[in-house]
Amino acid sequence: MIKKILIMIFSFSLISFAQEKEMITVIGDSLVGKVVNGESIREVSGNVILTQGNVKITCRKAIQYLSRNDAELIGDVVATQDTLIIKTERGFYFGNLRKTSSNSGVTLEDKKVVLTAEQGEYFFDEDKAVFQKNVRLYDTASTLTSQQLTYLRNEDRAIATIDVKIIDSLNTIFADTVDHFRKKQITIASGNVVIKNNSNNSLVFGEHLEDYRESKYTIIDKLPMLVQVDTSKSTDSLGFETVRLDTLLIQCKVMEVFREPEQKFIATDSVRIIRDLFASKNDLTVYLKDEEKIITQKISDEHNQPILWYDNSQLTGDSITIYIEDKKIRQLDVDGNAFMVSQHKNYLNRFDQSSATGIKMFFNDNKIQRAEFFGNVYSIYYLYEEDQPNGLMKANSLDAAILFEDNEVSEVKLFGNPGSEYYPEQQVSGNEKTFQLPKFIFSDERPDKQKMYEQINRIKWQLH
Amino acid sequence: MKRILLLIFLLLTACSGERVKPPIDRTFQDKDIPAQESWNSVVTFSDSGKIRAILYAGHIRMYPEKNETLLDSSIKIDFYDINERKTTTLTSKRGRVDDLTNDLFAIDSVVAVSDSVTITTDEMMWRNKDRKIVSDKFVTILSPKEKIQGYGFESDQNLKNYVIYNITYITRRDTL
Repeated sequence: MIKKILIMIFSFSLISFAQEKEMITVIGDSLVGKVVNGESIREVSGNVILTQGNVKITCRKAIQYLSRNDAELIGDVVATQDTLIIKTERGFYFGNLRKTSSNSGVTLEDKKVVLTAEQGEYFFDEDKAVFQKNVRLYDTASTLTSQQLTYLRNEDRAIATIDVKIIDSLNTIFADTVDHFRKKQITIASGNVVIKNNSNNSLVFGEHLEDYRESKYTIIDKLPMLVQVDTSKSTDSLGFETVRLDTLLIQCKVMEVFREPEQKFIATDSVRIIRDLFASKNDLTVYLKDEEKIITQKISDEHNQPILWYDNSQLTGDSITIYIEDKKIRQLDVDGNAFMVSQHKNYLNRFDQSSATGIKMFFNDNKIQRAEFFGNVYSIYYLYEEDQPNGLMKANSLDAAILFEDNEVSEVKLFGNPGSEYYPEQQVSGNEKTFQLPKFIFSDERPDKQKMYEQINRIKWQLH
Repeated sequence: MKRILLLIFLLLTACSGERVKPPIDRTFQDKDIPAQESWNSVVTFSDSGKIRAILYAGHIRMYPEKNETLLDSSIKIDFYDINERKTTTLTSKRGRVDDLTNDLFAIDSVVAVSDSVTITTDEMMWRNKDRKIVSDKFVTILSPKEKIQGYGFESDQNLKNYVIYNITYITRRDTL
């Protein structure tokens, strides 16, 4: 019996609660009840307060259309639910859906974000906002603009589409779609993604990006490409300083940026790099910003060695490390199966070649000064007299050093069991292909700037 | 013996004073007496030959000097539209008709019913010149889906178009 009574009391309280939620109470200075074109209307004017459960709406005038099941809210409309505040000049409230909408400019605040747009809908039961036209979302760290945005308050998540732009202290991100998890600080961008670094003029393009702000990690895993527009200064022999455009282009299949514990940039798979006279093709490039060091390496025995081109020279090795100072190359190390080829500018079938276990090259003002070869050095270099071909020299030694002047070989030094053979021009001319060291390859796959720009042009980032 | 002496004393004292006049109520005036009075009456109000309202009253008192008719012992008024269809029924305990304006005042436990709308208040007036129902008292409008309360009310006699002030309006969620 007691059990039955308890069940009855419980059921009754549930019904009461449900009824409480169903009820809409409106207070105001006056109510006009009328029938217009056969439709019953209730028009409440002056200091209107509409309450339904925990939703409270204030405005100057509310017009309820009974048959259409909605109420029009006019003048200084403010809807609140717990910490949520929605403001608009004119809107609608749909009681059976517990939804409000406006086409007259909307502002949403919830102590976490401020959201504005020309149009908006808010679903109180789902804690969901769908805003459209010139949407702006502000939080403590960034500003997001788009043409459409769905904000899920419970998940602290914003899904923005159409002309999305996120500006924070470091970057500006453009994309077709951005899924931003505010609490987890995760941003996923898709379609025509462009990241513009606010401090170094770099642009990263791609089709899919994931940014994990807490772990300070970003990955672009669909058609990534980095473009950094820069200038470099150089001084000629007369002391004149020349400023030239020095754009860095990096293309690969996966691009990753680590901002902690050290600033690190990793490009993986089919990497192509161009900067001024430098170019590279490899499967892995690591840029360590703090150390000002770029490492390219062969990722397995099955993969090709990285290739690096500088002006008319080509370098290959199991690993190539470039040291940079003040944006200029200072030193370049090739480790394991190092091979260097230089094509003559006028005699294109004549290649100076050197192979060794390792090579160290030293630069000054972006010009090569000296190259040091270590371990089983073999070289073939052509000789010229007043720019006229004059045979070639085959040499081998344990170590070697080549000195350069204006990027041209000026002196060759051999150390440790040196041996050399001279071949006069009569033997060389027309037989250049026979004078090639083992593993000689002069790759025709040097990255092409024009082709790389085609990928950028495909992205509609200029529209942003 | 004691009782007889007491009785004699009382009789002597009663007869010794002046003559006593019966009291006359001078406040009473002729106009307080209705010129006509009727019971269980039915009064029909018409306009251009068409019935606009029928009044049923348990007791009617007419005062021509004061230009008023007082109604009590339960009142019922049926209002009719231009097609002589009954639109609204108003009941109250008491009432008054202003004989100059033909305005009708329903007083005490006033209930007006039209279609599915019920209006309750303490006092309500039917204004003859514009056929409006008005009240300056606390009014409750009830329908199956809504409840409207406020102070002061003005409506057509069909209770379709009305204004109510300082309102509290309660409706179910599925009506919005």
